[in-house]
Amino acid sequence: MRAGDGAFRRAWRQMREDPWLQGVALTSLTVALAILGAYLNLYLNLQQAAQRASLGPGLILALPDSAPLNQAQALARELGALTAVERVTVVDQAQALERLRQQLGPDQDLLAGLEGNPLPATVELRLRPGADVEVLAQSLRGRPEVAQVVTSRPWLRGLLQAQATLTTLGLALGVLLFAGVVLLVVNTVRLAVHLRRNQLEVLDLVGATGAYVRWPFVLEAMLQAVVAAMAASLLVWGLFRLLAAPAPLPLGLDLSDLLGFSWRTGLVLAALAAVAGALGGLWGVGRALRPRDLA
Amino acid sequence: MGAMILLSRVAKRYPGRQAPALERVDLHVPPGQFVYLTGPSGAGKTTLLRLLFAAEAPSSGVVKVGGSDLGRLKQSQIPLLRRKIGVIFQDFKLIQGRSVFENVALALRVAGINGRQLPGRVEEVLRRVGLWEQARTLAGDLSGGEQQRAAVARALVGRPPLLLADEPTGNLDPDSAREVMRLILEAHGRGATVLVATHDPALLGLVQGARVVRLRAGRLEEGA
Repeated sequence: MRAGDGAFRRAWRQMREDPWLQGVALTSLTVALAILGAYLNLYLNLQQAAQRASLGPGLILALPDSAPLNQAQALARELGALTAVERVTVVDQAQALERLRQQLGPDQDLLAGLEGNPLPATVELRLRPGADVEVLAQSLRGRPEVAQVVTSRPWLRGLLQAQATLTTLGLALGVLLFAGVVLLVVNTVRLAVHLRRNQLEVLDLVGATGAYVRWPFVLEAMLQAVVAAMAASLLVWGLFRLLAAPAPLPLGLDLSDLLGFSWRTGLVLAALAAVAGALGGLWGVGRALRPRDLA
Repeated sequence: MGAMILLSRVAKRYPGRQAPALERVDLHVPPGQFVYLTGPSGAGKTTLLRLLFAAEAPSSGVVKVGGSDLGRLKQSQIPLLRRKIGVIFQDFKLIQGRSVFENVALALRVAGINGRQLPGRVEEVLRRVGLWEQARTLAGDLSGGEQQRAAVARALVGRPPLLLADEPTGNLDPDSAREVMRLILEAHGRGATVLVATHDPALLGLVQGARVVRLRAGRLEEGA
């Protein structure tokens, strides 16, 4: 007989027989996974925000007010052929104004008093990784069709430099939280083994193999973790909705970018919970049911 | 003649205890024999039984059951050995929160017997021990005598060639004790080798022609 035969059915039966234990396990796992989920959500949102920022143009060429659009397009074609350049975008004056209007969000009334459009048309260059921004900027500064060359904002450069370190730190903290969930599963399984000691003795007596006894515990831990992950996702979603600032922030910033909770994050959390359940289940049942206990 | 049970110079010592639980024990039980293992409390009866279903290992000597040398068995082979041995305990060892049917069926399920065969075999053995009407009753709701009959049913449902009973009537009134012994004797009549450990002399008269071996301070003597 294969060890897994009927293991799911036996796991489900074990769970139904111990509603108190299920309550304890689900409550504690939900809280632990909610902490992990909140962290994961913030981490992923920050990563996305940083990615969005880092994908901004590496170089912006402001054109003179008098420059016709076809001149900007010719410049864009020329620069787009350079190997250092990944993408070129021409933003005419109207588009630039519209972009500013969107960034201002509810404060766009500030633009109402403007006479005409003060913004220049621009050619935005996104450079390939490793391209030297300063060398390219230097070569463009003397050209008559370019009024001003703007390189990446200094704060962004600093952010990009710090990003690698922050990613490593963030991952380390995430692993620590994940390990906490695994340890919680281990202890829950050990508690279950302790409560079912008499039942396990009987199973041992009638000739149940170690695998026959262990698999339901592992599956039970995985089921608990996945159900707890769903509950935790709901909690985090609700919490982040509460925390998201109801009033929009200036400059078009929106906290919902950081405090949004997508169903994809919920799926990632459920997958992590299943893995934690499997790892903790195997570890917990392995520690609690050593061979000499089963023989 | 081959042996269902063979013990050769078996000793069992526990750490921290000066006197050995078993000392130079030799025992040969041929297939189909009914054996009473008697002796006062603490004589080593339970220890000897635990050696036979590999719950413990001897400190020295050889233990063979059904031709298998238990000292040479791998950990993974022990469950397979236990499926060939029915064991009955004084305290029943039933899962209290499960029905009589489920307790008995467990012995078949762990052996991979499921599907259509299972209900029929459980019903057959429960009718034999007179518990079919209570098949859906939780084990914890049965009387002591009924619980022991359920334990006997569980021990017999796998049709094991060897039946071990450790003080099977210790917690029962005389009528229930007689009924349980009748069931054990019936299993013997179907060909099972039976070893009953008891300190109750009243039980010895219930089975005519049974062999009696006595444990005294860890040593085995033939005869009551």
